[in-house]
Amino acid sequence: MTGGQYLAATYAVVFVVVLAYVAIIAAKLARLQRETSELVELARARRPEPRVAERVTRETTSRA
Amino acid sequence: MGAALVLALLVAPEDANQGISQRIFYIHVPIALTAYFCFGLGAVKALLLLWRGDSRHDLESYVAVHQGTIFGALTLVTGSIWAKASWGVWWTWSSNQLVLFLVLFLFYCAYFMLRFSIEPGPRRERSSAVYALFGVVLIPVSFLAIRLAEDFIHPTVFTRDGPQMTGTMFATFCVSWVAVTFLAFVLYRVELFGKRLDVDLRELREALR
Repeated sequence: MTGGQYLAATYAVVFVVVLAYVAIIAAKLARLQRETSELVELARARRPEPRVAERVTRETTSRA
Repeated sequence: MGAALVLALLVAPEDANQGISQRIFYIHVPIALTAYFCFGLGAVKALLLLWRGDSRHDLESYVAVHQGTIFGALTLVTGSIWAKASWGVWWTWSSNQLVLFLVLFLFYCAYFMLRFSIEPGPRRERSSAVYALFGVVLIPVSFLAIRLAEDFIHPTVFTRDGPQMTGTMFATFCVSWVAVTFLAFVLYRVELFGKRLDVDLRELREALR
């Protein structure tokens, strides 16, 4: 191998490692985004709908 | 980073002795210095954790050590390629700086084994912090080894008389160093953000169950 090829190999190794690192971080952030969406759905499912809540409040007030 | 690449590959003059392979210097040395800096940062954050007891420093210390290990691996690989180009061998055990850097790297690799062998909690945080602090002792030893042992295999570029290179070469080195440090800083912030988000989401999931 010539000096130029060693030089190219060095910069290529650094580029590939940084690229792989960024790809791993990006995959992890995408997973976290999916998890956040799941948790938002879970929180929405647990919260009673506003109309139902209003009806319950109205009925309670009229009984009183 | 682009400016550093242009300067290192096109603008900086070619070395009279080593030729084109000397340009590896502009990526190898900044990466090595960044690895030292990351290990040092990990130790500082570990000290803050032990001193103040604030567990947010645990993640910061972990991410810094993680970055340092990645840059340490890159230092070993780029150094090995440069050694093959310059000395004709991939590795030599007779160079104290090489061996001490390898010891430093392996020491911090063991940090992850220790960390992940303990259940998450204050005990793991404290044990990891103490280990990260011990490792920082190896940094000046590794850095100064070449001067202390009068090792003639690994070149000494920065002496008491200043950098042993031309002004353009030194400027290229400085730009490359700033670029690699900035890259490490950005990667550190992104990884830390991801880790913190992961912890928060786990807590939120537990709270919603």
